[in-house]
Amino acid sequence: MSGLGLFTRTRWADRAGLLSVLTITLMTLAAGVITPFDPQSRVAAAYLAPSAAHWFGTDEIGRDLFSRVLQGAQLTWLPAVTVIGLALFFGAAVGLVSGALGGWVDLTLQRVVDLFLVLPPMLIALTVVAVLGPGIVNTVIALVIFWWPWYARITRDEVRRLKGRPHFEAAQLGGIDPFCLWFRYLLPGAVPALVVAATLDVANVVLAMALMSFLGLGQPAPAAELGAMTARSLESLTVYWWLPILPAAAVWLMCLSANLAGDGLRSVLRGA
Amino acid sequence: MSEAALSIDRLAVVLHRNGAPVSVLADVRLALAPGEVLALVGESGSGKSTLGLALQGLLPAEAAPRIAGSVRVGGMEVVGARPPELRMLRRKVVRVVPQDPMAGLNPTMKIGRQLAESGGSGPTIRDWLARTGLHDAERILNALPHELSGGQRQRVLIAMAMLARPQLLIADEPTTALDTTTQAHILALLRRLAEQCRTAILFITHDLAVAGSLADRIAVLHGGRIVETASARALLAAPQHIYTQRLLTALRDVNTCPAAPGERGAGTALRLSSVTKSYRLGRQPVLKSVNLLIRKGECVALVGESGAGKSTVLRIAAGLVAPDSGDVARADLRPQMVFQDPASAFTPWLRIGEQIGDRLGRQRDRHARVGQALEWVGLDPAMANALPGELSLGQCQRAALARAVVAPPALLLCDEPVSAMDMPLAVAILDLLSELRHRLGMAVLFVTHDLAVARKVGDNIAVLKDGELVEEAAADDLLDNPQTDYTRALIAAAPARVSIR
Repeated sequence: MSGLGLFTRTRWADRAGLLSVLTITLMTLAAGVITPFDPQSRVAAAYLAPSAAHWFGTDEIGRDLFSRVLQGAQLTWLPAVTVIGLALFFGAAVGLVSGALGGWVDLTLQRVVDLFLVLPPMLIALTVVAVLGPGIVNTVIALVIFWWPWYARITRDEVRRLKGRPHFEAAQLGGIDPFCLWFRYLLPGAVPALVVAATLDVANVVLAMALMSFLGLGQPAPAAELGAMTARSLESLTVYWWLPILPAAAVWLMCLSANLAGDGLRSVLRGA
Repeated sequence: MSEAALSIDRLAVVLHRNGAPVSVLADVRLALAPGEVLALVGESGSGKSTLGLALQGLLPAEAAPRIAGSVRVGGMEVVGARPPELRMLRRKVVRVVPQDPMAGLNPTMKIGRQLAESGGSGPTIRDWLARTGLHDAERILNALPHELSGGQRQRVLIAMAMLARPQLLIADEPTTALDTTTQAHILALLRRLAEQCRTAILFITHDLAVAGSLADRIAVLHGGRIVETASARALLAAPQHIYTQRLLTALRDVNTCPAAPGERGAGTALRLSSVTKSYRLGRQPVLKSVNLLIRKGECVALVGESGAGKSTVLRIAAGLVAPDSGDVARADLRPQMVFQDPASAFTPWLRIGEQIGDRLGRQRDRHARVGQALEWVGLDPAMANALPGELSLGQCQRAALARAVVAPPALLLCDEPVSAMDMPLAVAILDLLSELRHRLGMAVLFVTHDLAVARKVGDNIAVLKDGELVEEAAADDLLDNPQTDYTRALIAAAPARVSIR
């Protein structure tokens, strides 16, 4: 079954989600090249309303808002995908070991996972950033610490489920070496659940990062961060509406796309 | 005489699969009088389940069904009826007893409430429970479905169906999931209900023996057409159509061909000595001191009702489960196993060839040996590239056999490998198994609830009851001259199959 075949059998909303996730990723990767103006320097008069020249208008010191939103999206989306990727890697590794070995190893690892799951997420993130200082790397570390246990739990449960199935018992009786048994006969079974959870979580990480930056714990000042941009201009909402609304709309669009794509992947992976 | 309970005239059904029209039923004519039991017999894919759905107006909408002809149930035309009429039909006129009793019940709702929703007051519900043989009504009504046995669930569903006093009862393979003794009770119950309540019963089955022991008449469905309808006795004695003759030959084959004895060596393939097992502390043990000996090249069929501990014996023999006490000695470290449902015995995301080949590790002739194993079981070596989901039931079980013998084991364990199959397919798989056994000199432990199958494959038959072996003897001796009451009861409960010669 080809990837294209899967794609054409999905609903239009799923297709829109998958397409816009792809578009957002490409746009954020190419942000440095495709921004019409330098996001950091003054290019026109302050407080210009959206127009053909400046699609999103200009901000309080005359910087092009579209360029700044695009850069802000880059600073949010790419770290969000990185957070999910790292959390998936560590979570799946711990979950696979825990589920496949069982016994006291499972018991111990799952209590560790519990420990991380009960930590209040924002508090951890704020603490890590407060201790290590603001910055993109520290934000990513803070969020990975919070996110990996969820994937560990999902992987472990899927692996435990598969271990009770006749097809795994059949594989066990075949005397296949343990490495092959784990990576060919167990882990792929957990992939659909993980992929769906991860896609939906991209939206949550985007929101978490926007929230941290809104609270002033994102990157230091000149960086164009969506949360900080909204926070700074919130009081001028009634006069210069584009200043808080358009960056917030970018956050909303990223979350919506990730959610639609997650739903789409779910229906493809469950239905196929 | 009132009107016929069911009359089908020139019914044709076309369903769409992946956009292409497929003719599933053509020119089906059938009539049932009130109180009559008609068995509809056919292999899987013959269209018998589609017919059952068509009678209730439940053909799947996504298959874009096109229906021609006429179906009248209790005087009401089903073809072309509007949804509210169909709902009334399904509530009052046609009721169904499904194949899987667990699927027919809501697992989160007490039986009492589910019965009440089906219509009927307290006293009538109790009355029907008693008539279906469930005498401790209080316990049943307050139970959740998982707290009942398979037989009890099926009785509840029959009571639920009969509460509406339907004119037609469709029983879609209602006993395939049950062991022989329970099956015999359920069949007798249906027979009695048809006589007492004048309800017509359409009994859908793939098992000609079950059909023969229950029905007044048998209709044989093949390729979407009814090829023969006759009284049960006449059809079994003198089948007219060549397809019916083939079905009957397959049935006789199971009954009369005892296994050719394998080459028995002197060594031991498997020895269980005083093996006990209980799954939860303090619970009734599943196995109480089981002793079993299988010599090299020998086939022992282990029979018993569900819950007797057959599967546990098998899993202990395989080394998947450790016994609580007792000794297990195997000639070979790696016995292989063939499962009841071959589809779930293959990892769905790996190709058949990969799963067979992984048994060989990194040997250089891996590819050739996988091809050879597939040829042994009568499959095209190109099948190695297929995913398990692309195989039919029969192909899948053949592939499972290929996987088991690609590195030939000294002991092969079989867990009811043909219980989900219709008779011709089952016979083909059993023949293949005995051929492989002789070619490779394997010992076999074959678990089944079906005495006829046990006789066909087993040199010896061992009878397991409540975790104890009650009898073990050569297959023919055991069936012709049983020593214990329990074995006699098992033989008596088996449908006509064992006695048909």
